[in-house]
Amino acid sequence: MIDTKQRDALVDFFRQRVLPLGSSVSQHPRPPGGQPPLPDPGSLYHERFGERPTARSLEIDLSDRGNISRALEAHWQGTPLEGLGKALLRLAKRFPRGEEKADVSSDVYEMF
Amino acid sequence: MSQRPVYVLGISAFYHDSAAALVCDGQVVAAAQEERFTRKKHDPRFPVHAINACLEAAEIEAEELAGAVFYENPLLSLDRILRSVAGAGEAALPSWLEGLPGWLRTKLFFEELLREELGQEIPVLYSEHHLSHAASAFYPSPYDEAAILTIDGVGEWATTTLAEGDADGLRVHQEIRFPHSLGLLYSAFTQYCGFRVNSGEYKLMGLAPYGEPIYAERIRDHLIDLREDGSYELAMDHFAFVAGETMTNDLFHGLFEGPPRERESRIRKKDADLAASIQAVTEEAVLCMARHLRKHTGCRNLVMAGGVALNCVANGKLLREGIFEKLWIQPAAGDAGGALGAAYVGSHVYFDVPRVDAPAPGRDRQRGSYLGPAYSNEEVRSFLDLHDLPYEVVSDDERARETASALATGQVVGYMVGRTEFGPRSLGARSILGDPRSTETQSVMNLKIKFRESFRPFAPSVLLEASGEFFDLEIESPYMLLVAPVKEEIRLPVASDAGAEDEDNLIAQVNQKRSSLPAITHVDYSARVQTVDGVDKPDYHAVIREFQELTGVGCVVNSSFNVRGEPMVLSPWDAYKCFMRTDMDVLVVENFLLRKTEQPKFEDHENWQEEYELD
Repeated sequence: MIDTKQRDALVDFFRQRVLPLGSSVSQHPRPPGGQPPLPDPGSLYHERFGERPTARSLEIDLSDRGNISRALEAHWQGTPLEGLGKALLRLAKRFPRGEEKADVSSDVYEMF
Repeated sequence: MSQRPVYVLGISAFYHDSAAALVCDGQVVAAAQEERFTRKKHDPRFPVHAINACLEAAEIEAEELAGAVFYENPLLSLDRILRSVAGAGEAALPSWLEGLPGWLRTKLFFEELLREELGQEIPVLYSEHHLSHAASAFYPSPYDEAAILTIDGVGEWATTTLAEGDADGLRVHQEIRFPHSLGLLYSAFTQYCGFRVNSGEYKLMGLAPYGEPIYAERIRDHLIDLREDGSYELAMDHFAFVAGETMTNDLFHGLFEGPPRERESRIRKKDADLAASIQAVTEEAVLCMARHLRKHTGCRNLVMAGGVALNCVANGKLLREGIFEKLWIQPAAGDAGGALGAAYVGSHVYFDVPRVDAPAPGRDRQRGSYLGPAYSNEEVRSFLDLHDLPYEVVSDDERARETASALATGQVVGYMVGRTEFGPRSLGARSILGDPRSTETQSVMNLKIKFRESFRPFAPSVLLEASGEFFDLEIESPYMLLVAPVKEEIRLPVASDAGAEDEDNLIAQVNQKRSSLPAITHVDYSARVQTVDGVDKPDYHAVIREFQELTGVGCVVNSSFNVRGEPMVLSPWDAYKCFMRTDMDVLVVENFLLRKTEQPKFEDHENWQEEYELD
């Protein structure tokens, strides 16, 4: 459950920071420089080119608020989402940790 | 000086079926689902009980962990959410209000939570959702190399991933990305047919054989662009799940000429036809992907995970199609299994632990999936004595004989022996058992014990060595993830006009005796088979062998030990409650046997069935 102030903050964030991004950002971002062309133009697969996970790829520092904010900012650097990391962490201050979501609808589970 | 063992904890949480798994030097030691402890089905909360159970099983303290691995990458998930919501516009506001607080309160702060619960600073790592599924499919499998197919609703961005595993680890080749999702397509039909998303998919699959795939062409023409290589896109104008609130929209409802079926209302022929249709399209997609993956990788073996890999009908088709020579499916194929995969990723990718050898050629490394907590005879006796409950103490041999004898006389037995199963299927550690020869077993177990929909079939546990007598199944199926045809020799003819006077009357079809094992023979002469050998589960093998001695049939009915909406029982108390609330006749808990007729009156609250939300 959220109170009125929390709801208002969520609505403001949604309308002021998220909606202006528009539908142009709704797809998975391509890496800088773009991806090589698909080997089969008739295919709808996205290529990952036999990519292997590395020890480095598992390391993300989300140990505290500052590091979470920095990690998000680094992830979104140079994209239309740049700046949202800090803003989200500011918004999170209004939501003290409590009971986790256990009863949201199953549709929202899938999405969120 | 010997090296310290490398313990890696894997955790999945915050979506469905949160879980923990512990891998030591590349070998799984324990794995458990949080729902079994909290008694809330598909519990998504931080799995503190499951983590403790894993540490207890290994008899270690948290400080001995080399690291913990979360099963997905929150940065990628949040990226997908923000981008998708932005694209959906104002319509996404309600789901934003419902879904984002969970991120702001908890999901972003996984590490803080973990530190608090463990009381320790340990390295925390992050896998990717489908990489975790892929690892859960490959590392415990019997194969040195395999193609990997993972399909589910959605991970971070990926919804379908084609990968490969070998001595050098995992390689990701291709993926399909959200919002295009075969899992969500199946879930959309699940909801449209009046079942709950995330738990009703299994029911939809069970309903499919009652229908005809008359809508399959419509699905292919209007909802999914399925290419020859198994890649696909959904026609998103027919779906509403990106904005939240519901899976389908008016365009979808118009396509199928009506609104969604209301939950718990009568199931119609149309629902069965829709189920058959989406099942047919799903199978087609899976087969196309498998053919492409075989060609792409050249591998002879296939391993699978992700929620769609629980579609045992599609799995059975895949096996019979012979695209790959061998097939292994992670029994905890859903998100719970992500915890196990994450632990493997941490072990092999980060800590560079070599993969352990298979226990024997052809055998997997999953230990029968009996990876959860167990209760000792001392603990069980303490419980029974504390509550002054009448019981008989039985040896292992007596337990097998008494259980088989009860089954052979038509009694239904609650059976709780050994470590609990990891994954959604009961495999003889927490099972309700019945006589497969009886025509009444299915209806009695559905209506008086499980309190669930009467159309739902039951599964057989069959002695591995006797499997060929009853089923057309060439390989082992220890995890009940393959549907196989019942042998022609034991089939019985069915009246051709069964249910003809009322096509919506599924009960008439259910009640038809279709084989000499009617309780486990589905309407299409199929069965969801569990083969049981004497290695991973000797006590259960002994029960079925005794049943075979008594009846000539090396097969029993096996259903999960719970009532509808309840997680599988975990403790003696859970088992006793379920036993007393239902029409079970006998309860076996370790080396103790309880008969219903001897039990004192059970004091229970009147509305106990409301304790569990219907699934």
